[in-house]
Amino acid sequence: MKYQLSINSEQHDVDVEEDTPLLWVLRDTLNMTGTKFGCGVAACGACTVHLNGTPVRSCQLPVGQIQAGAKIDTIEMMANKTEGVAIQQAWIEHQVPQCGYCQSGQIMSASALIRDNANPSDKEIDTAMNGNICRCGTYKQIRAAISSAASTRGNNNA
Amino acid sequence: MLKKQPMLLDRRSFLKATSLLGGGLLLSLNTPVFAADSNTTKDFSPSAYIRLMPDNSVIISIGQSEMGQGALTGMAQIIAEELDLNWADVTVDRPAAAAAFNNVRVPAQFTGGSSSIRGFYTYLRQTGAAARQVLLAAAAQHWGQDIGSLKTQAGQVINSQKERINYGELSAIAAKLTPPALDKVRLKKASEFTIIGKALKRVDAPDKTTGKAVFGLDISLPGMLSAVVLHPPVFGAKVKTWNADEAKAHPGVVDVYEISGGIAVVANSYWRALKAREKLQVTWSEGTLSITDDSQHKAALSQALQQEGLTALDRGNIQGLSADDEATVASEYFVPFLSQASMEPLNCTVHVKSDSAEVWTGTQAQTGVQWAVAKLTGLSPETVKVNTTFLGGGFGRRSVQDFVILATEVAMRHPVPVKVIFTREDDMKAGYYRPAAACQLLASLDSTGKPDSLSVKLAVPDLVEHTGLKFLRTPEGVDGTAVEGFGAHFPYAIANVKTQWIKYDSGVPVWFWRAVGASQNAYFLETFIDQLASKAKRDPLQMRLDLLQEQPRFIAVLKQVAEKSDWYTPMPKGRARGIAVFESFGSVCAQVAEVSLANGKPVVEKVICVADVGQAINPDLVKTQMYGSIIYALSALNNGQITFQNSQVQQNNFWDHPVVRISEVPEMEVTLIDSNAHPGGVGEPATPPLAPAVCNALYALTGQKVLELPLAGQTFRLS
Repeated sequence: MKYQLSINSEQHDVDVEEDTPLLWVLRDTLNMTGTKFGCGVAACGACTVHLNGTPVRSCQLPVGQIQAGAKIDTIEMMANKTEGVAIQQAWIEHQVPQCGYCQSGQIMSASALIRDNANPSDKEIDTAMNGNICRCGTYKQIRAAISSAASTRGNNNA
Repeated sequence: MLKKQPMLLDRRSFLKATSLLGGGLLLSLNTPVFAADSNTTKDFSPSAYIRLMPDNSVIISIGQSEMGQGALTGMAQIIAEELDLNWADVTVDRPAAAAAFNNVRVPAQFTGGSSSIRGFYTYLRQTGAAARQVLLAAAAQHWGQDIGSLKTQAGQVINSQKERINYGELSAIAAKLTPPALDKVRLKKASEFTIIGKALKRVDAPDKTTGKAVFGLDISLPGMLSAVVLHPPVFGAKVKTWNADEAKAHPGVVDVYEISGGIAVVANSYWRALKAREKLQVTWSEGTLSITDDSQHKAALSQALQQEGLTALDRGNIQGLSADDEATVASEYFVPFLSQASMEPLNCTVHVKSDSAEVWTGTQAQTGVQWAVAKLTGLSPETVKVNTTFLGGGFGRRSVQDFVILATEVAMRHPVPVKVIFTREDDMKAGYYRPAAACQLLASLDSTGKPDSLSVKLAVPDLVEHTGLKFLRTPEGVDGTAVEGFGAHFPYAIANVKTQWIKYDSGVPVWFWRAVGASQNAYFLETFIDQLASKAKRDPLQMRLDLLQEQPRFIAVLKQVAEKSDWYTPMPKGRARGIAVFESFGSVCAQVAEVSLANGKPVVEKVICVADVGQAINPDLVKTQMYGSIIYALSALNNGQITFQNSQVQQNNFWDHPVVRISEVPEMEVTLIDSNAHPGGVGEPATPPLAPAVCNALYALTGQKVLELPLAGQTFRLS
């Protein structure tokens, strides 16, 4: 089946079976490998992308179920978004990544959080980030980085 | 595991300076290549190590695998320190596998046992210092001045007139000089350090925030195929019959065939290979496990504890120690198999050509990859090029060659590169777990309440046999990982101690895990110490301080963790503290955990950690390793287990193998002891104390001994 997808503000034509998860369209068909495969069952968050701005698990999103015209953003787009840049800078400032494998997914969840919430509490951070597993255990740094990115962004907007 | 201080660099290795095409200086490390079958030197293999470019940028090649522990950054810092580089000019390169990157003690390139920094520390310092000497000598010639009047700073040589010249500009002269022997160069005093001990930013962090960092799974090559393997449902089972008619008809499928480890499905994409795999019809032979289910396995381990084992420690005389004596404390423990469950599922890409092969994978054991591929293909190991990608977690699992062997078997049947991918379920069920183990501890107290005799029996498989790493065998013939902490280095001043190792093997493939043997032995020993303290009506911290008077590093971390945790201030009702201390991988770590209960389930509220890791190369990176170790250990403590039913692994994925998520993270504080001693390991040593610290807090809170892990399924009540 042929599909037209809007990914990172560009149109991509792909020809895959309709049950193919968006994750594997990104990785295998379009060679956009920043989005990671971790579990295949939406249990770890490594494959998180934004669908019309909302964080979703791309491993559980068959390409045939994506509405025409839906806007998909991946980690590769985050350098072009103010909330993405704020999170990426905070990630480096707080030295979040260790092995780094889960971090694309973490950053996608975190950037959506601070875009919608200028001052998330620890509890709100936990709620937004609980779907993203990190086996290196970078959670303490993730919390600190989100808080500082949110406050930086809040100050810039003020 | 690797307890001994590393040897100095093999004297036959030497630095060589040559000019780079287009200017710049290459300092290569020429290292003897050992033949695989003997200790004889075959050849000297030069490898790029330090490249000083004309624009003053510096490229340092690091052969240790980066799996999050910060090896690239820490190792580059050590060279940069002795070579007096400007850190901002340094980039790190990850070269193909080569003998120049072999470990100091073992003629193989591998990353494990928290050995990168402590193993290479002296070696890297000597390399940096020898390179600096060459540049000083070149500058002396350049200016016609005495070498003693020159100094170096931030990538430049400076003379007494305060004239400066960039290292990169000295390449033409330096390339004609012979660097000094590595063991003859003067190394800096700790007081002269400006880069070692500094919390510099990780070199890999930027690419790991943009999605650009390349992991094994991200490898994409022209014409590459993707493959999945239908693995046996039970360890050791073989294919009896198979039918792939439907699978072969699936779109994109290139071929389906039997290999040693199951049925391989090769397609032009992962998803197509995976969907086709679901259509396979296969029958299997029975496996080779002696485990049928967990209760049977536990009973067998317990039975093994009744036997006599190999003696790992025999101090004084434990005769007369009897479980029937009223003054005796006795406990029997059980810990389960544990999966490493790295975030990146196992995968490997291989391209086999007629005269060579190339591998792209996140491996912890590059030389092992070369040997494994060579053995299967008939190629010589030197012709197997191993490209090490970033590792999406390792925790020991990526030093096994099982996934490399499968990928090679598949790739041998295709003229193009093939990437073999494990699903999360494949990864979870693929074995090479931290061994399950049982332990029996028996101790008596003298009339003053001081422990005077201790009997230790450990029933656990032989990891030396499983891994083939003979250097882990103690002189007594014991698996060093099995008795970690209970052997020659047993720290407590108990007059009579006997440690026995009973080799018990169920047939389940076992391997390393974060801290391996230390991860269970700390739990056995340190919870038992609290039982002894309770029997003696002593404070658990005081009991440790009394018994560890001859162990200054233990005393230092204990005293500091007591202070940081306000150990002597009573906790509010419903909360309790527990303490534990353990030495592993050359570092000593103490932790205090604060625990409460929610509906009978333990909640770890806070963990205070103090560690003596010797000289911390990058204190921030060391601390993040400690935080990570605490969380890794907490996942295992709470829920970690691989269980069996009908000889099949029960766990599938993160939904039935839960790991700690952000909402469960306790408040954590890590403090490092100020030290300039030779570095200890940092990736693993904070793992072992967590479980016993929490279990001791639970014991204080409820009076219930935790004799089995994980905590899931156990209920507690306030005493």
